[in-house]
Amino acid sequence: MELLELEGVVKKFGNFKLEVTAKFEGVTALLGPSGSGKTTLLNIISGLIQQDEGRIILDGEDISVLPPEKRKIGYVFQDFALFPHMTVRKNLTYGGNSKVDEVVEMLGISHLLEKPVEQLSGGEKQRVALARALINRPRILLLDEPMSSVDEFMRKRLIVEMGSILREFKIPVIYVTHNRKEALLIADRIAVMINGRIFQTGKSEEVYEKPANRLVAEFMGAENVFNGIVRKADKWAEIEWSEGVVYAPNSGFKPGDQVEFCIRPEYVMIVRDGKPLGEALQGNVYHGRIIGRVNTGGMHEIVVKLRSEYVTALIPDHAYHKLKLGTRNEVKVGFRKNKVHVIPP
Amino acid sequence: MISAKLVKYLSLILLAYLLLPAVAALMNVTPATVAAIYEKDLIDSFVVSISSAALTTVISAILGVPLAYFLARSESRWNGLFEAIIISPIVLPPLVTGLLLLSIFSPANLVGSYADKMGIPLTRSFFAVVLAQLAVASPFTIISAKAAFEEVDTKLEFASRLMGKSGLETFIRISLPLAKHGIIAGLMMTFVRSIGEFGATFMLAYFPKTLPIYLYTSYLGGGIERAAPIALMLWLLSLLFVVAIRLMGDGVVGAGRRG
Repeated sequence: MELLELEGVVKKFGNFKLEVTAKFEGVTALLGPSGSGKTTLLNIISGLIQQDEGRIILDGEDISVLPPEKRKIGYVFQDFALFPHMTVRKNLTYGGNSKVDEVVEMLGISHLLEKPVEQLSGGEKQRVALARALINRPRILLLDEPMSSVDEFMRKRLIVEMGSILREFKIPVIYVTHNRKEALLIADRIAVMINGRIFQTGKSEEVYEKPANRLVAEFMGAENVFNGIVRKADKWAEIEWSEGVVYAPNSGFKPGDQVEFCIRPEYVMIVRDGKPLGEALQGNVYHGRIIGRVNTGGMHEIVVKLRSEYVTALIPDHAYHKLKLGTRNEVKVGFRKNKVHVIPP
Repeated sequence: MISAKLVKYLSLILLAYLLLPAVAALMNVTPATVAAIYEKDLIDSFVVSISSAALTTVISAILGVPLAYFLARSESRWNGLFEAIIISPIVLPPLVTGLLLLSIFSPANLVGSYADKMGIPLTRSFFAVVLAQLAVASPFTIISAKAAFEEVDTKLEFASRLMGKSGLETFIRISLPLAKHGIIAGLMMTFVRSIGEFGATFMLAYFPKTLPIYLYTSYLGGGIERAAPIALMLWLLSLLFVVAIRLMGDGVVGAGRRG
């Protein structure tokens, strides 16, 4: 398994500054809002843009100053960049490898080989572009929003399929997307890039449940991010916040630490009246009023106003109806203790 | 209120006027003019015109196309100024361009006298004709090719580089074929402009006589009667090329549609 390392890579464009130190292995989704510098980073890795500072190291070898044609990088561009004056076959063999059978079969495009690329649909183009990027056995594969021109309803299936193909190659794959769900579907690891910097790289679940800072938390959709002060730190950290106290797993906090903590909407529970509280919620229950309801299809997003903070909860359809959340306003919400994530100070 | 009828008549006036030269040209076809076409001097001029324009076009292709590519890809802030200077011969009276060239290439000046000693006179020679045409006509190739290269998505060039191809190979296999329609159109304009070139040539290379120069001297010596066969020949040549460019254009558009 090859490893791609970026050491202090810096690139400035006017007011924008990209500054990245990160390691990539396996299939990583480079996730961030548009304009955060994701494509620029791919272009630096591939040598299409020269960085101002820093090194790019592939499996111990410094490739920082190699011209793009020497780097052995496969690149799937956002609009695929297939050569329009050639057939699919000519596109695939352009790099010099005329043995197309294996990759063509893997991607199921053998029937397209003799077609001019202009006649392909968006999904077909995407497969051809992926085949073209893989055919020369690259050492790294870069994909820039490859799903952006694929029909919405085909997308999920294609992402899952593509993920399994990418994993077969045992090379670092960087998959750029601004879509959180897409990132979670395709990748084992996620690198969150915001405003020219990568703030967190890690296993997908980890980045999803334990964001490293408020920016990452908000971009990963944690939504419920609050400020507090650690009062006690035993097995659980007891944190004082505007609604009282909240208990969270203690990972080395000291009393007096100013912290931010978050809880994902799916771990915010609606507490049923008259039922004893389970250990999971003990101490983490707050009273509030429902002020907003959105049906997101099978799930209901409800916004609850506590004393001064707002909390979003994601409730499955059956529970929503059982708890009559459509009609009543007063509720008690509970935060599952082991899912309250305290962002390291 | 302007009626549709009036619009029709107004446009007819210009149409009639623009057809006049064609009518005049055809009226000039008499046994005498047809016989004059076979005159040795006229054939000589014809050969000079065609061969010099062809050489100018080839040089424009070899030197102008890479320059156009460079301009299309360069991000320098001096590009605007640079381009304005390159384009200026298109709008400058050709006599001015010719005069400026003369001030460099005449035997009285450094470059011209040195070339003269080497046995390559840069005025009053076939080479001088090409120099004059190159200055006036090659910008058409540069402008047209530059526009065509700007239409080529740089991502396609990136893709080629990433597939292991050098910058040069990428240029030959990706950029050039994708820009070829604009390049060919530019080269044809350069050729036609070279055939018609008079002003700069007049200053720099009175001899050997190209068709326009020959036309001018014939007119001075023998009036319209003497000049008519040459005018007819130039008129036919131009018509031929305009038709050729139109046919090429149709072919180009058609190919685009098929693709």
